[in-house]
Amino acid sequence: MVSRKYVTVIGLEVHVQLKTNSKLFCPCSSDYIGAKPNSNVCPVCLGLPGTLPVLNKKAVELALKMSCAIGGNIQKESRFHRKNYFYPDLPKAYQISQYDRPISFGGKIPIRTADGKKFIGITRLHLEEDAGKLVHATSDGRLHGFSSSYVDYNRAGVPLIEIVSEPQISTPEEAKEYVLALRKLVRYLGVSDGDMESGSMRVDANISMNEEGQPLGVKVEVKNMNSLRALQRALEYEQKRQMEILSSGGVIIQETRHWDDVRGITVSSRSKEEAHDYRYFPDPDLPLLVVSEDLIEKMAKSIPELPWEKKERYLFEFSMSEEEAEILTSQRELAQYFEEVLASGAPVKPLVNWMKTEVIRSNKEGKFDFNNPEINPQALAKLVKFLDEGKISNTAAKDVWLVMLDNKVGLEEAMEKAGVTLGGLSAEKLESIVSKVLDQNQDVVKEILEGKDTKGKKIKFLMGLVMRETRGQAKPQNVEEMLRSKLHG
Amino acid sequence: MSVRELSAREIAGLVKRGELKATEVVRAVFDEIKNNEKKLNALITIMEERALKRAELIDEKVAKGQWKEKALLGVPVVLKDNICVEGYPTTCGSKMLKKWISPYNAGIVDYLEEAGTILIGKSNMDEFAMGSSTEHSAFGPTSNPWDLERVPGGSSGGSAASVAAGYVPLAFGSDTGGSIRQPAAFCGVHGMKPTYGLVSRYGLVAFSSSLDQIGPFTRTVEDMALALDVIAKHDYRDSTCWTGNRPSYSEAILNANIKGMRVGVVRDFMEEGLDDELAQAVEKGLGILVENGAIPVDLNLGDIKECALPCYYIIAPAEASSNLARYDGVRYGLREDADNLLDQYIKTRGKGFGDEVKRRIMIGTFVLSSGYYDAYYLRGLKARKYVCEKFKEAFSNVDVIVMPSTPTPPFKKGELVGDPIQMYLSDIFTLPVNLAGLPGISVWMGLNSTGLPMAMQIIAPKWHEVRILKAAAKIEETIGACPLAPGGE
Amino acid sequence: MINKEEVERIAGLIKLEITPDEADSLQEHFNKILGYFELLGNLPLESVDPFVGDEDVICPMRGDDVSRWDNVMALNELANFNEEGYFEVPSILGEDN
Repeated sequence: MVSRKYVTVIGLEVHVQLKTNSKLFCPCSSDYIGAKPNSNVCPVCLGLPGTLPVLNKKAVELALKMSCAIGGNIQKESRFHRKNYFYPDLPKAYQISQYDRPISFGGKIPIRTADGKKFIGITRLHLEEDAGKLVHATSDGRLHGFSSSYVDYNRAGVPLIEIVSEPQISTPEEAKEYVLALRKLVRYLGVSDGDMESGSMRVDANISMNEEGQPLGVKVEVKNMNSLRALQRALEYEQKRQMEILSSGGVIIQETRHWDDVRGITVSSRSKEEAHDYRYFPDPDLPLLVVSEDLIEKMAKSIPELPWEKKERYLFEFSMSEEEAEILTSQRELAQYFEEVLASGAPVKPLVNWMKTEVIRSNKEGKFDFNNPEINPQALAKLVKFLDEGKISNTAAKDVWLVMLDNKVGLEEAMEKAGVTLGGLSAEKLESIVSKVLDQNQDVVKEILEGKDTKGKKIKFLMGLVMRETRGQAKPQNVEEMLRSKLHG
Repeated sequence: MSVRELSAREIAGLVKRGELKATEVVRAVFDEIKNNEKKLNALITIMEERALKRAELIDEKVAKGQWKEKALLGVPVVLKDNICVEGYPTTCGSKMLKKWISPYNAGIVDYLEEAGTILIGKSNMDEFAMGSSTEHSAFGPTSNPWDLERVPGGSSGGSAASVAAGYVPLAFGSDTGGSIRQPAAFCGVHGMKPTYGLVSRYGLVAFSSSLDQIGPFTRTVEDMALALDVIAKHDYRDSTCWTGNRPSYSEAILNANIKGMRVGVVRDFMEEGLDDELAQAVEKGLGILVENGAIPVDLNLGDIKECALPCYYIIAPAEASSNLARYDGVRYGLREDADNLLDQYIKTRGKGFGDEVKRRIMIGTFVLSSGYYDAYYLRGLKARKYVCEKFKEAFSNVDVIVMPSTPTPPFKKGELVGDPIQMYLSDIFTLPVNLAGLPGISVWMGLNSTGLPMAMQIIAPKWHEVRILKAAAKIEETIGACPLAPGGE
Repeated sequence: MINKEEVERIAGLIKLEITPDEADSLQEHFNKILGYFELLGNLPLESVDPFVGDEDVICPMRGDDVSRWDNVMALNELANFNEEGYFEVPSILGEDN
């Protein structure tokens, strides 16, 4: 049997919670996490009879900002529709969303792939409200048996944007990269936390497979992936499942499948769902949404340098490696700090080294916060400069850095505390260390004086001891000179 | 003169001057209600305690010389039971909401209270405002105060009857396809549906959001203007509420002059399907306007009479099917317990809604459902647009249009309840006005040969309520203010 | 013409329990009113774009200010909350939307 070659086609629908203070259509707080069930609600988001939606301008602005960033074609006129279906987490039994007239069409996002870079096209971007949450166990963890489910509407009405990609993603790895790129972008823009685990970013996937050169296959929708890893695993699983079916002559059923993270499989959501008929129609409570040229311009101007633009610039301007540029642009605040230190006079190469090692490490250890850097850029610039000019050693610089972080002190004070002085040790101090080392190693001294150190190993040994005592602060040639003059002098 | 014969303006004047105590007004009102409510059944909720407290407060303020600026000080008011009042039931005439208590006030409730009114009770209505006879109420039918065997019209039949019977000089209803003007005509009072967007819908339980509008019932045109002054305000809580400036309606009708006003009359509407005496009433009304200097103009409105009914019965049910989907027993209102969610939904809704509501939400679901949307809903929207265009053309030649309010005088209870479509036809002259979002009034035109009230409708372009009020004022000068109905004694 | 199965499908969509008698009378009503809807076929609507119009009102936008509904207690008392503050519904585990 000839083995056939299959290609995978993936499209993603990503829901992103917008970072607004209040909900999309009412003034309840959009910060629902940790709130007592149904305490963060009002007549509007509970869908009480007679209530009406009033649109939050900030949500529109954030959606516009996102559209600008991906190069979307912003629609000056867009409309809200009602998506009608019954579910206990949906207070009005319809979701206010956008349908055939979303706020933006088109755009693209560059992602990293095995072969370099690739653009994933965006079909559309639209605004909609979030639903409440269904829980099957109450806050104290008690599961009340299977007879009841519990509904909490604190999240109902939180603003979302949905970003629909073109089916241009070819592997689970690319899907992950796409979501990573999107997450980085929403964080750069300050549009969202982009946190998959807490649900502020949610991803649904459409995946199909077809033989190379053949028309597109039947697509399957996969839901319930709560992390990047889950996304990748679910798609890998689905790829394998579909390939097995296809290569044994089977047919793929168009359906929705849920990822079961524990079992590591996707499960068909019984298709008794009466072929969803959402009966979309324009929401008569919300007139045409018209965004002014001024507002679009204002949002376009508010866009910072985008992560992929910044990376290109770092590669080009600072001759960084791909890896270095990727790390330094991974978070907007990190890049910003880097640029500030640079602007304060730090030389590029050693700064890049310092950033990707010490700064990243301290951040991981929870000692250094990019959002609110504990060390001002001028201080780090000076430190890196001293290091670069050989005025202090690498070890000493690390000591000083840690003292600055731990004790929240300035550069001078930290150097004093760490016993580090510029230009290494004073001549007197070095002399006393050398004398001490020679005293403690009379046997080695004797051997050298007897001419037994033909390969110079013994003098190197003494040098090592001195260097250790000085915590690397002395210059090696100074130490060697001092040693020789003491030995032979 | 007894309190029941006084107009709202007269009561407010007397109360402000301290010549009549608000508490006396309230006592007189409740005496009236107690004497007549058994035969009329106009009210669902009576707010006696609240009204008395409110009246005492008013008397206190007046004694201190305060609150004299309040336009409707001490005026007793009835609200249709689909307008929310905090702490009181808002049943919408439905089993579904029999026990639901609103935790908030509708926009107009705030405005009315601010103007010094006293809320007396909530009036009977066709369930969720769907009907033209007030027979589709879970609280039993309301009787017409002119003939207890007959219907008061609907859906705001309770409010119309309350004013006709002399419970109160001022009541409010909602008009989606004629639900103010048709019962006003049947009960011999004035009733106005303002331009869509003139009055806040916040707190009006939605039937068809793009058509619903709150308006007053009064026995004088002067009271109508006064009521509009109070309720026609921009309310940010309703996104469809017009932001333009509203004139002072009371001032506008002082010494109203209609010389040169071009009055359109649609001859097609005066032919078949219209009661002869009602046709004569329109001619008489037109004659009065012409005597006062208006210029009659014959108009052709194309096919709007033919298309209004199908158009309305596509759009209104479509919106209603979505608006009423929230009554699912999960959050508030009736709940029929069941051991699975689907059963809970269908039993709650099957039991909570009456026949007419079921008919309409079924039709509405159908016209929006996949496969029928274009043939029905979309075509309905196009027909609506066509109606708007026809009116627009007409209003390029005339300032107001006169036409019948209803095709027949009030019919008997039970006469049409088994024939929904015949019932729908009783709104044939009012429906087009809602579809085009125009303001319209039904004015009292005296009694017919069998002693039943007659009326005429006057409509104007959007936001031109003043023209309507001026014309109505001229009619009233000749015909007289609306008399109290005999059934209210 | 709409058949009874279609009537039942629509009832399912809008979550209404209807008796066989109700289904009959709804079917009859459907067919009558759909007859009326045919009248729209006589109108010159081909060139009408229902979504383009002179809008009197465009969608207003409010500032992003938070205000807490201070009457949550009233909501609690009035709504079908349980003692922990949740709305309770028959289990939806195993069902899908």
